[in-house]
Amino acid sequence: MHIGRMAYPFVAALVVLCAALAAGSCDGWILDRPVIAYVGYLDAETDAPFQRFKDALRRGEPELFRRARIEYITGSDTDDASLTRTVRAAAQRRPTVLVAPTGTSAQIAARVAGPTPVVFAGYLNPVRAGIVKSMRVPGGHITGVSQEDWLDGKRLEILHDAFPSIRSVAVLTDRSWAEHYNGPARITADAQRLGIRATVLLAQTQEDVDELMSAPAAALFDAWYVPPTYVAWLSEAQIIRHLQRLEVPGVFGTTRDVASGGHIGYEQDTSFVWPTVARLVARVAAGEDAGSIPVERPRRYLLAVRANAQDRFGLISAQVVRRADLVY
Amino acid sequence: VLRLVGLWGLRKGSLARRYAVLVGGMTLVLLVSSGLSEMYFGYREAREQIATLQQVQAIAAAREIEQYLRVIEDGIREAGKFPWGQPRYGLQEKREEFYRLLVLFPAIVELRDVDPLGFEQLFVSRTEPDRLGSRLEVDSAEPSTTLVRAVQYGPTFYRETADPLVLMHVEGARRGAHSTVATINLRFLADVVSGLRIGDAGRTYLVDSANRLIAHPRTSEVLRQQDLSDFQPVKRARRAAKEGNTSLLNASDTIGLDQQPVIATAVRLQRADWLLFVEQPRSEALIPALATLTRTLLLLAFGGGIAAFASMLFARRMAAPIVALREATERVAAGNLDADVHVPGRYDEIQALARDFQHMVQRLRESYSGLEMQVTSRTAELSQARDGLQAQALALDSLNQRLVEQLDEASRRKDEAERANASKTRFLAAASHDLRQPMHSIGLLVSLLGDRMHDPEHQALAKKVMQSVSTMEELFSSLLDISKLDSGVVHPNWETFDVDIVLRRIDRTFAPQAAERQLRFRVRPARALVRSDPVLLERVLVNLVSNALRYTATGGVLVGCRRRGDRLGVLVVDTGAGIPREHLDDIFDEFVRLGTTAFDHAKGLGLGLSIVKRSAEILGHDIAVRSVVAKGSAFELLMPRMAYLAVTETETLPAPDAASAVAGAFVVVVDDDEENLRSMEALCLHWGCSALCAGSTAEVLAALEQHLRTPDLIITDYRIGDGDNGFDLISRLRTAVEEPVPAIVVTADVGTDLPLRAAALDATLLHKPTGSAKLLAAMAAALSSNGSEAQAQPAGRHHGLGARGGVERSEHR
Repeated sequence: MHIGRMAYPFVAALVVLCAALAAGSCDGWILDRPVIAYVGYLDAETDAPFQRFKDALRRGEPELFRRARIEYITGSDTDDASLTRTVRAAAQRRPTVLVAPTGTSAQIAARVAGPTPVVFAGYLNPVRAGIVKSMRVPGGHITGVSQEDWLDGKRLEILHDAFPSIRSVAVLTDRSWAEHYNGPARITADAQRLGIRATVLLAQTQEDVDELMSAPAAALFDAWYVPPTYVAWLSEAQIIRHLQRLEVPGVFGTTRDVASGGHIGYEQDTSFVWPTVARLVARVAAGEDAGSIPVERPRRYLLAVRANAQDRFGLISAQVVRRADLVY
Repeated sequence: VLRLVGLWGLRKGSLARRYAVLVGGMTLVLLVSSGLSEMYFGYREAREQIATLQQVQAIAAAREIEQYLRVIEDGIREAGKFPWGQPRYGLQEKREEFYRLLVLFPAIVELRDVDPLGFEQLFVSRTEPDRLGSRLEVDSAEPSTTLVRAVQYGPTFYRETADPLVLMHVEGARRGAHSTVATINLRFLADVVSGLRIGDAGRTYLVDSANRLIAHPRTSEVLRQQDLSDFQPVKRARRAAKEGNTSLLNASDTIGLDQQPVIATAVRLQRADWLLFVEQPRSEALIPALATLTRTLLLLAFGGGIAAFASMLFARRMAAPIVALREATERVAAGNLDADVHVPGRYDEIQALARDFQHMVQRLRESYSGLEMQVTSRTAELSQARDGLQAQALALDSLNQRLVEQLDEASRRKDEAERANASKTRFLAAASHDLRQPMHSIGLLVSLLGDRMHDPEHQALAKKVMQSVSTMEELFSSLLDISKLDSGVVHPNWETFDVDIVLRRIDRTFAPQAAERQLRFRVRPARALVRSDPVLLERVLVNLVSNALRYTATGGVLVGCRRRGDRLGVLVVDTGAGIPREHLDDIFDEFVRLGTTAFDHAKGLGLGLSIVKRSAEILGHDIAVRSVVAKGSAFELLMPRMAYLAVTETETLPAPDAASAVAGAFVVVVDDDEENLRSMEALCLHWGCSALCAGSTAEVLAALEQHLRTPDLIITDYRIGDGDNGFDLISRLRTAVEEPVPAIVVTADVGTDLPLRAAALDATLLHKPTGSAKLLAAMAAALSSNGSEAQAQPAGRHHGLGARGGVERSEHR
């Protein structure tokens, strides 16, 4: 009895301690569990960028990845109105942070997300697209990674260095690139400086790509330039197949296309994007004001070439291969 | 805490507690001093270690950054060694060399070949199309335009990408060779600074010459393009650099970029005017110091506890024998001499003290035993003495009892004597009163009869009768005086006065009598102040002189004064028969008369010297007698003499002719004795007064209503029958006539309150028997005082120094 009486205070203290620990655990795991809403166009399993984002979050911010609930919100990649409704509905659920992985979704999120913090990634110029007020101080509740791409001339130059006999180039792109970057005018001027004739072909869907590259006129071009657009990302495999069929070289906006069979790829370091997005999401989830975090940009540039590619222009020049960061 | 250190078992103020506090306190002080010094020096050493460590880290970081830049410089410099401009070393080849540099150094964004004239020959970029042989003049706005010597760095600048960029100008290998200008993206320095671990939360950052943040482990901090000119550590470092100090900031307590307290160190990069900062939060940097402090505190607490415990044990052990000694002494002090003092296990001074104390107790025990025997013996002796004293006390009690009985008997006899004396006094008073009434009437009637007789033989007879009456009046007066003196109603009225006044009155009184008897009578004047009652003194002297004249047949009587030290002796010397020595003690008794002459037998009553003796006793004056038979006697009265001062002479002026003073006055006479009433009426008519006589108050009030004239004087007996008295009658008559009519009250009573009551009414009190001359004088005085009432005080308030037979007013002594 005496031992029991003496043990009573210790048992009570232990119960209180367990309760406090449980409360603390609840506080960390349940009550304050952050929610990350990701706006995609496919489904969570097949959306490669989403998987890369999750992977970057798991690697770079394991604590947040363990605590957070990541929601994949599927929007329409062709209907802006539908995408707007989707983003607004997602924002109204007041997630901890909303991830907009494309320029279009970032534009919509900046417009409709309200006080919900947004971290974006996209190729649009965020200032010109109205996503942020400035790169240094974005304002509102949005920040992100800009992959704004002005490397069209440089890519044509690399293509010309790799295959000096090329005289005509087909530029396969979409309207967004054409309108946002004033692409046709710029690419034409750059091509002329190199002594090349450039023809811009616009496609919005994979069908458009097939139609354009299957047309008899496609065989008239010495090479193809595929800027980093949504349709290029969507039709990556088709484009490579068509180029192999046409036996003409192509230069792409990403190094990933070279890995998939393309000849040349020159890009800003896309591997920088998703780890940076994951880090920004973690900072916003920790309470930092998104509008005060500068918009980040990739700092590296990568050149990838496929050295053993054979086409009607022969092998790629050695000097380009020497410049390459990645050689396949 | 006291329980923990064991002080609970030590009584407050006890020796063990003092020892414990002293030893423990000293140990704790030493421990605390040691601990504090350890903590202080530990903290100092920790700070020095932090400073050294940060300095090393900062220098290492600076070297790493410089090494990073130096590699780029070396690469560019190596590229310049080729013989550019020679065959097979044209621009295309130089372009390929530049691309090689771009591959090797990701931080290089652009490379530009500039000829000695400042024109661009080649431009290679990661983002823009290359330019070969452009011969563009290098933009003068570009920072590089000013950098034309050796390897130098321009100021930091930004483009749309917001990345901090800097131009590195590398001079050609040969004189006149082209130089290379590389645009370096400083964001790559983040890889360097983020790779430097400064604790868990510390960091390294780089500030350019314009105090902008150009390298930080977190890229976004650099993208903010922060100007740190007002940042305290930067300001201090810049100030130190300007002053030429090698140590810009060395482990200084300051505020970090996160606005948290940090310890920061700064060094300057020699390659460019950049500052490299190493900062670490204080809370983290001081963890080793805090650990040392905590450890020291714990050791201090542990050591303190051990010291307290040890001091307790030591104190208890040290104080135990002393406490045992004290308890033993306490038992001895309580009377227990059998107490044993033993301190086991000790062989030191305490043990010696215990042994000595044991010896002392033994000696005390022996002494106590001897004392007990002595006390027993002395007690027995005292018991015997006590028994003897008790026997003596019983005898004394018996004697005392007898003494008390004797005292009671004496007191009883004294009371009986006093009662007898009082009875005698009352008898004398009553007898004199009762005898005075007829004597008063006889005197008045004989006087009236003498005035109406014209036959000389009859007048001679009447005169003899008057003389007899006078002798009887004198006898009664003397008896009354003795009665008043014995009854204690006479009290002296002390005054300081000139004795010569009394002597002159004596002279005037007795000079005629002495002349009549053909004796020499001389009163020698004396100017001396005495302290006495003038009336009683005069009475004494009157009796002495009267007595002297009475017993002197030939020769004379001399009255004079002589100084006796501080007293004055008034001498009455005669040449009489003298007093035999054996009678000197008897002459002051009542009715003692010496001598056998017919003259003496006829005149002397034997009361004069008795009155003298009683009066002198009341006054406290000594009286001495010297006498030689057949030669004479000398009486001397000794009284206090005062310093002489001018005293207003208050001797009563000689009265005017009394009969003329009262003639015509309207006198109201009231007496319930018909005979007295008629005598008074006859005298008043004889003196020319108008008299209204009545036997009672009602009668006189009724009679007054028949008169229009207000009475000038009221003469009334004290007792007027029907319970009335003369004082009430005076009051009622004055009320009736509404005037303060003068009044005389004649009484045979000797009551003590009568003079007071007479004074209260401003009336004159006369005692019976009263002669016609005294009555006439009193009437004249009363009437005259009434006439001068507005100017003078009532006569009763003056010194009434008249001799016997004179007017007595308010004799209230």
